[in-house]
Amino acid sequence: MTPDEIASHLTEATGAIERSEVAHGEVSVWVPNDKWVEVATHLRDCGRCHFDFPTFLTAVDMEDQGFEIVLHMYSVRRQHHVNVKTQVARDAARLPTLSGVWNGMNWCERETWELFGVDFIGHPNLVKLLLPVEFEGFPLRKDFLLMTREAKEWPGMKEPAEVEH
Amino acid sequence: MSVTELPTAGMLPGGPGEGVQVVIAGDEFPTQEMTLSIGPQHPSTHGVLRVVLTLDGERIDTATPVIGYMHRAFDKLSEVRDYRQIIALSNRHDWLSAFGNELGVALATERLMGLEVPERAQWIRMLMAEWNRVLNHLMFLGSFGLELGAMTPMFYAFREREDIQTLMEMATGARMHFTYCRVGGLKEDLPKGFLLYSEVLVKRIRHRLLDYAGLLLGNEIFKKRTVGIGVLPGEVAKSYGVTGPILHASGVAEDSRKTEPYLKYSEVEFEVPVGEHGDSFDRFNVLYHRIEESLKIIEQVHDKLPPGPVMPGKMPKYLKPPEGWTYVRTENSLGETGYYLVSRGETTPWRLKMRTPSFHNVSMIPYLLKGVLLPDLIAVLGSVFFVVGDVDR
Repeated sequence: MTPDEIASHLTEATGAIERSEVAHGEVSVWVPNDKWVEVATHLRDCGRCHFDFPTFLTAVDMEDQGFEIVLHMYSVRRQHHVNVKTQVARDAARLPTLSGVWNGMNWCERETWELFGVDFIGHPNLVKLLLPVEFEGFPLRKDFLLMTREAKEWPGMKEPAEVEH
Repeated sequence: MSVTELPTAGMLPGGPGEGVQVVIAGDEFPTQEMTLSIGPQHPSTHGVLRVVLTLDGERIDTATPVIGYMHRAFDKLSEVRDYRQIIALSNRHDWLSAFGNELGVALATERLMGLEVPERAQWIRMLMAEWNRVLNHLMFLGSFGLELGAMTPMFYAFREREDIQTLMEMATGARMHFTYCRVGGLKEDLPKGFLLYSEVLVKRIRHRLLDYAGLLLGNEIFKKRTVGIGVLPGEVAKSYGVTGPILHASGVAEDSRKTEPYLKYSEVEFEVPVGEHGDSFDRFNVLYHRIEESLKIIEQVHDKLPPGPVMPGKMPKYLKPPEGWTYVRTENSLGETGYYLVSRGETTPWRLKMRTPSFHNVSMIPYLLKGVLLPDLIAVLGSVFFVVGDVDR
């Protein structure tokens, strides 16, 4: 299916698509939090979608608007992509887990949990993956400051744009 | 004679010297579960990966990879860097396929900015990416043999790797972290004599590959240790997001060079080697044949390389991709390396998510090791070709 067809198919079939956007030949659809698992399961089971390959799951810090969770799916059989996105509130960042839908989501969700502090409800083993157990804070949030850059803005003499090549 | 049933756990009844005879009924011999920690410093893990095993006798019950020892926050660091600086950062994590990593950053930035890359630069990028693939695969071709007790392939592999590193050093000035890509094109054109040496090297390596086939692919001991060991079905591989030679070995020919060609891959002919059984031997076999296909691509680049510039005539002083998002996938040496780039029109990305093949491939290890005998552990772990820096980022 083309990106536009995927957007219209998902809108019809699930009835849970808030809005969709196509850019650079890639499609994104936004779904509400409570339809997250439902839409993901549809992507896997629907014969027209047949998304059998979970590429990645991550989050983007949207500051005041909370976090945008991005699930990128690919279909090996149909050779098309989709980005499924949902927004969670900053102070109540939680979402049901997809680890039961695709095995590959297990580590992706653990990574997103420790780096962004987004809780995945029902995850079988939500413990630190990349960071040490005693690490405090969520490093990929925008309010987690990179201390070396706070101490000294840029250690080089010039910005790369100012160097003549 | 008294017969005592064996307790499932804890001390055997009877003190020292009392003598207890145990009668084993049936095939089941319950033993106490044992936890064994492999790594983080273990030669078969190519870096610092730790695997915690629980053993039932000699059989692995559960395997839990412990990662993160080399985590260096690529995502966070790139949020404070210019797009040109990220290229230098991105070729560090997977030190065996540096060019493949930096290529993805350049492609993602170019797509958001709508930059047109000169023809010649695209062909040279493809040439370098394929040489890098050969460089990477030779390492695993050698090390897998080494892990199974064959020393010679490792020495052979490093002899060939040395040649390729000399070749790539001619163009890039570096042996490992090339930093040859630029947003928009390449650092500079190929030096004189590069193509000549490249042609010689293709012939030399193709000839020497036969040595590897003789040493390992046709080796009875090697086959005995790898055929039928660590079988990964295609459907399971896909559900874990496994890519690259491991996915191909399971019979799934998903390769973005074929299905969604970037650069000039649509203009060259090559095959995607696939396996039948998805066992350790197939994974190794696929790796071997991928080198042959890469050499084919390199030869076609030699023939088709057009003249022209390698950078667009005019590049903006400040790189500011317009607001938006994109996901660029490339078939790197070990699988799909992708960059999800979110820009807010600034000189630094708002968010740059790096999707690495090794992270997803290693997440599948618990499935692969379940029920495997401990002596086969290395034959399985070694065949899941991964670089720990690529797992941890």
